[in-house]
Amino acid sequence: MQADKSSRFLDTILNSVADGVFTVDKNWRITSFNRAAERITGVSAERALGQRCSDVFHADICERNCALRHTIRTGEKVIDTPARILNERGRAVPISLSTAVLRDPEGNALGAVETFRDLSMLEELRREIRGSYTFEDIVGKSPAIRKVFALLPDIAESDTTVLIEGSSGTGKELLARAVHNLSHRRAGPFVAVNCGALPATLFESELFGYVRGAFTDAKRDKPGRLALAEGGTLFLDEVNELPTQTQVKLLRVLQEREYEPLGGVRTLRVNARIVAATNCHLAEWVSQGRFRDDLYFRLAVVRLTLPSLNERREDIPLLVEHFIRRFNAKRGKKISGVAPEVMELFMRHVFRGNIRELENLLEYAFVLCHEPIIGLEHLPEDVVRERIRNLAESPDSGHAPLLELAEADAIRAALAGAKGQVQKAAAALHVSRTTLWRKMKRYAIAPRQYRV
Amino acid sequence: MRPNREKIAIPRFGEDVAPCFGASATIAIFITEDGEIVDQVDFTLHSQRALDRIRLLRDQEVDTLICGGLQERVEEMIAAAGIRVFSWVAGNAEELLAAYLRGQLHSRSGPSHPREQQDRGDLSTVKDQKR
Repeated sequence: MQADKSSRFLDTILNSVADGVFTVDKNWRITSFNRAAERITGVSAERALGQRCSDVFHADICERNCALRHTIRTGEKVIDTPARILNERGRAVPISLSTAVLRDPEGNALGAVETFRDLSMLEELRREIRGSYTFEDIVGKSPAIRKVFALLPDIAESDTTVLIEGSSGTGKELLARAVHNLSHRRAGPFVAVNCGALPATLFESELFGYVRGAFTDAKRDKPGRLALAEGGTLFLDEVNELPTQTQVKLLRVLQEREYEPLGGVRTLRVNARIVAATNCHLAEWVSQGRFRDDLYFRLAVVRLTLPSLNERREDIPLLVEHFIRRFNAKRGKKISGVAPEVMELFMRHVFRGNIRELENLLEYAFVLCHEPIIGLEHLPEDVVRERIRNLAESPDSGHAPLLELAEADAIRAALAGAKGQVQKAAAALHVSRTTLWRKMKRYAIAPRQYRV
Repeated sequence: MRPNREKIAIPRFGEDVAPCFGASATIAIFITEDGEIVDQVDFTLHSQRALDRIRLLRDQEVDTLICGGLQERVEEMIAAAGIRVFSWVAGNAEELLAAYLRGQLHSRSGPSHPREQQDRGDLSTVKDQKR
């Protein structure tokens, strides 16, 4: 009776801690599995109990450095060892784990206990700060993204120049960073240069650097971005904006792997991989004589094309999930998803700004949302109004959306008249306050915007 | 008539399929002709980089991969390389191979995915019989 009581007491404690805790017998079979362990792995206790721990955790240390094996074999504790497990959805989860032996009252080893802490949020923040993106950050299952996936192993291995084409906001820099982080140059620097951001003369000194005395105020040598990218990757964004005279110099860099800094006489060797990106169809610029064809062919040894978000709508739910995970880590929130009507809006919305626009919409919603689910009321009003307008314009919509539009406008007018006081606006509209709240939520109208 | 030849890769941990493809030290490649195993080569892997593993599979012209835990993105990349994947299975490697050759192997039939196992499969039997 007493034993039962203390066992229940222990269960309550274990299930209320934030860290994952589980125990194994001497054959690595799981004998207990707390709630946090269920949450982190995505595997229920019911499924985990009796299984070998390696078949539940799929950790990178299972084979070569199993902490539990070490503890059971030597009796020594393992404290705060890093590892990566795979959760039920196939995502790598970074953890920090500690182990200890479990003994019976006579001191015989019964098995071991492991506690582990989910470090995903910490790693997400670290990645955000360092920009250490890998293929895990290229989100999508659409055919165009699959094509990129198919090429990545070869691209990463080789040192060839890569040209990434895609509209603004499609993730060109992220892909360039992933190519860098997957290559053997990953320990080296990743240096990004925007070719359209500076006038031609300044750009050259920025790219190639200059030596003391090259021009007035050049009081000391300054290394260019090419030199800073030594041993790593130089990312030339908006390469189509490269001035004609710089195109010739870059061609020499790609052909001869050498250049001279401004005002310099000594030729420097280049040891950097070049990845370029453009938001236009560069081959067309070549045919129009706006971009050198020899440079184009040197840049486009491997060409990757990122489609616009409107061309890969099937990836929107995955991207939404991805950004929610990132913003949760960044802002310390626990938002679990978006309401169905928000997802419907995203699926119909014309994303002129591509993935960046979707990211910005979700970032905006994260500021306003203090609930577990992002609703229409957390999105910018113009986006929601566009949705109603689109519904009204769609041929199969009948008249209902037009009525909705009129109803939403009437609510806005009433709220403006009542200076944001819901009770007063409801009275003016001859509806109850709860009905007005429901409708405001539906049309994503926030009364505080009308308060003076 | 030329025999129907297939290369099947299984990352191994002792006699069992390795729990994590990305961290397995050995990948066994079985060559079958008309459903019979005619050869086997073991590769020892030092690099834990997923792309090196994918390249190995591709360079060895592997047709099918049978493995334990597999990162979602890596699975997509392997599939993009034209390799058939049976992931998230557990148990004795040779018995899993035999189940595959009989046409009785299903992805996600290991203990991490028992619901799908109940719906689809016979693989739990392979594992449970062994233990």
